[in-house]
Amino acid sequence: MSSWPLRVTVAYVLAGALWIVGSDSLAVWLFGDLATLATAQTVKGLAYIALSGALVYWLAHLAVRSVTSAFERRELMVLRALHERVLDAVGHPVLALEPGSGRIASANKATDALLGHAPERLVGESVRALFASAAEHVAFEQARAGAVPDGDSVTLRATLRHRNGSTVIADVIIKRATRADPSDAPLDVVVMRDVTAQVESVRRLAAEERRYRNLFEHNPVPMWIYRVDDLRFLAVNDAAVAEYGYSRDEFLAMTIADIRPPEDVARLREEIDGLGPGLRKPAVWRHLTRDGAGKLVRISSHTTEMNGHAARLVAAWDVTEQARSEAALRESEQRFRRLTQATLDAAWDWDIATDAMWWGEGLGTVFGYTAEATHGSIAFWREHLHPDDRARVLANLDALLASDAHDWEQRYRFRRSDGSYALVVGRGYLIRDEQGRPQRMFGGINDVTEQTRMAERLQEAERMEAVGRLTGGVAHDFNNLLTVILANARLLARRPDERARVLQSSELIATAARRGADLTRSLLAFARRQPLEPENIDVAELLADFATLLGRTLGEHITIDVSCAGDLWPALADPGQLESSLLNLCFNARDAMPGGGTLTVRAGNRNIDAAQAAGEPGLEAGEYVELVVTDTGCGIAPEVLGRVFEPFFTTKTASKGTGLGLASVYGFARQSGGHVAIDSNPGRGTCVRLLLPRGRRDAHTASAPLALATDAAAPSRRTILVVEDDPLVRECAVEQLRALGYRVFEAGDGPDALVQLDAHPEVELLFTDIIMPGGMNGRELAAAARAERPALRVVYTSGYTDSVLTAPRDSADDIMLLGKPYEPDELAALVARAFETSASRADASRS
Amino acid sequence: MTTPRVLIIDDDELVAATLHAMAEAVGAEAHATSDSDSFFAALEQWQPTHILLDLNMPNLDGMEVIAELANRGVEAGIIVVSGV
Repeated sequence: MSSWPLRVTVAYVLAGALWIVGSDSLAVWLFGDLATLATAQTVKGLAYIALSGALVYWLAHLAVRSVTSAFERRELMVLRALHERVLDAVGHPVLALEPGSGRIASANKATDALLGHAPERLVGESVRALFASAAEHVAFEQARAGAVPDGDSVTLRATLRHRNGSTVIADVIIKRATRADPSDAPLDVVVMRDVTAQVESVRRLAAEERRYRNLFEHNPVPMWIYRVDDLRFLAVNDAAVAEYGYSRDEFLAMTIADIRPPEDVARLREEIDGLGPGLRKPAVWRHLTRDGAGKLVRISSHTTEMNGHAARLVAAWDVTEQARSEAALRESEQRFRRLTQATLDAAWDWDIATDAMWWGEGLGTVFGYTAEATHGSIAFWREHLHPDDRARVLANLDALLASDAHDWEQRYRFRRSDGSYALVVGRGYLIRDEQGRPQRMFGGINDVTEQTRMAERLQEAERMEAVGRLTGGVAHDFNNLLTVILANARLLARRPDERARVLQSSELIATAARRGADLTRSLLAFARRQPLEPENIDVAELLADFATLLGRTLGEHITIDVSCAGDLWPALADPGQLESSLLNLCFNARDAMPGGGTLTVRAGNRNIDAAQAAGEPGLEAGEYVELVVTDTGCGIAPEVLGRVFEPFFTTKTASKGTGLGLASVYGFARQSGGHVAIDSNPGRGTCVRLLLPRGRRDAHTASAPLALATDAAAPSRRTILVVEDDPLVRECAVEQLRALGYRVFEAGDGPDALVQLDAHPEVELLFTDIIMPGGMNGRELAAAARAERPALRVVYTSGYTDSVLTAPRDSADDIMLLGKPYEPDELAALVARAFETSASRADASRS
Repeated sequence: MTTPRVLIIDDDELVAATLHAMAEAVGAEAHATSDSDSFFAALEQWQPTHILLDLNMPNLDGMEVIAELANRGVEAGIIVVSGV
């Protein structure tokens, strides 16, 4: 730079010297005259001055310009640096964007601090990367599009994304600024103000307020806020609306005095006037609901402020039910005490975990012990059980504890303080926890000694009454029959030649005897001692035959309806006795309907479960065939219904009969392993249900009816030994057999019979009574005789069947039994059959 | 002496028939009934001299029958038959 003025000066000196020398030489050459020359010299000098002046100006101008631009350049740099520093000092990100492309022209350091982007990296990038989502960016771009150069700034709230992924909420201010040179496109200056913390705190504040509002609005306890000055409701919650029945608007038009009974209002005002600041302790008040119902509430309140008014916040707990249950509890406790005093029970409460036992006063009054004597332990109770009962009772109690049942009842003997034993019924109820473990047990001991004694005495009296009635009934009936037999026997003797009268008398005697036989059979049935031959009965088939029989017997005034369930099981019972029992029931039904009616017989299957069985004494759970005989007759009065199964219990209006009908049905049912029950409504009819045990279908053993053997071809060749202790009966049998053509020997007891058998080896058949004195019954006699003579046939006879006959059979033989009384034809048939069987047996053994 | 006319009532037909035969055997005329309706019908029509009556009948009250007979002023002799 320093050589430049020197060079200009040297050039100027050289060029000037050259100009002066050259132009002078040229002028001298051209112009000879001096005047011209002088003129030329002047012009030439002026020209030179003009030329050098122009040169000086140009150089000066150049120099000045160069100095100025250097200055300006320096000035600009200073400004720019200042500008950046100012921007960096701004705490908020400031960006300059190209308005068209939206690319970032510049960014300050705060961009890095807030969003993690280094400013130099952002230049030239799209602003999109700074926003949390595309939607946020779009909103920004829309706002930016609305910016006017040098117009008002545009602000929007946007969610930005830090480079590390976290979000930042910011107010974004966009200002479109023109540049110093108006020809340049304007620039969008964007300032981002971080408001995250501010937004968060506002949100938190709102949530908190919402929570408190919810706490009030949805509190299960009715709550409200009222103005202290005029007592108006300012706010009420949902529970208040629900429990008091007023709508929210109605509440807000009311004062708190409106929900008090009028007589309480004065006290309310006093109370409120006396309230200090802060929390008021709970107090119980009466409130009224919209429908006028009163309730007891426990009120708490606290001072507050609402809409610029001094107010109180109130919570009102409904304690009506609590007060009521407290009163009920007091009453119940009182009642319990009176009850334990009033009953003869010694009440107790056993804590199973600790074995502690509390006793009521009854322990003293009934058994004579003081509460101290028990030591508050269950051991006292255990020790006072009768030694013979203790194991059973304790085992039963243990079984209860181990089961899932609750109720306990046992009869046992309990020692009194005087050492005697009381017969007691102990009852208890077991409380279990949620897992079913026994916790506590409550109960009582009831002294039933006297009661039991009375019941036993009553039972004995009733039994004697029944026996008396039975005896009287039997005596009456037999006396009638004996009268008939005696009278006709005498009449026969008196006029033996009047054939018609003889026949009549003998027929009357036979009829009387048969009726006597029926009577004893009924008695045996009632006593459950009749010989039964249970079979698997097809009840449907039996009923079909039975219906035909009934139609003929009952008469036209009675409609008969007999039906069976489709899949009826077979019943296990004696078919003959079943038929006779049904007939008995049907006759009763007929007699209950003298004016006609409907008799229904239904058969069906019936499953009796344990619960049903428990409800009916004598009935066991299991499968039964049920026969139901229903009539539409006069019915049976309730006081009589309980006694209809008693023998000879008959009502005046009942039908002709032995008075043993229902009693023998009952005996038959029970002996068959079944049951019978009766149900009746006076005037509406009676229903008798007969249950018989279920039989098996595959074992239908109904045997063919006894075919009467008529083979009496040569009875005279046959010899029979008749053994019978009653001489009358023996004589009768002997005479009958002789009349049939047999040879007959007789014996009065077993030992005598054995002697006769020895004496008469031709005896082929032993006809013996079963029950005989002399130390040997019929079975034993037959066994002894058979030991000697295995081929000997035996026919038994008996008027009464019991264990002798039903004992296990000692041989494979059929037992042939002729029940007393019997008719000559029956005797003939059975003896003939015995000989026939013995012949076939002999054939079989020969072949 | 006229033949006695014996009217019998016993609800047991067997007993009634036997009493009938017995009455005839001693030379009386006899008529047997088993219920009160036919008994009182026969009483009016047949005018018996004697009445044979079982006091203890399961289905009839003999005492009631006697009371009714007294009520009607029946003059026939009443023979009461009783077992127990």
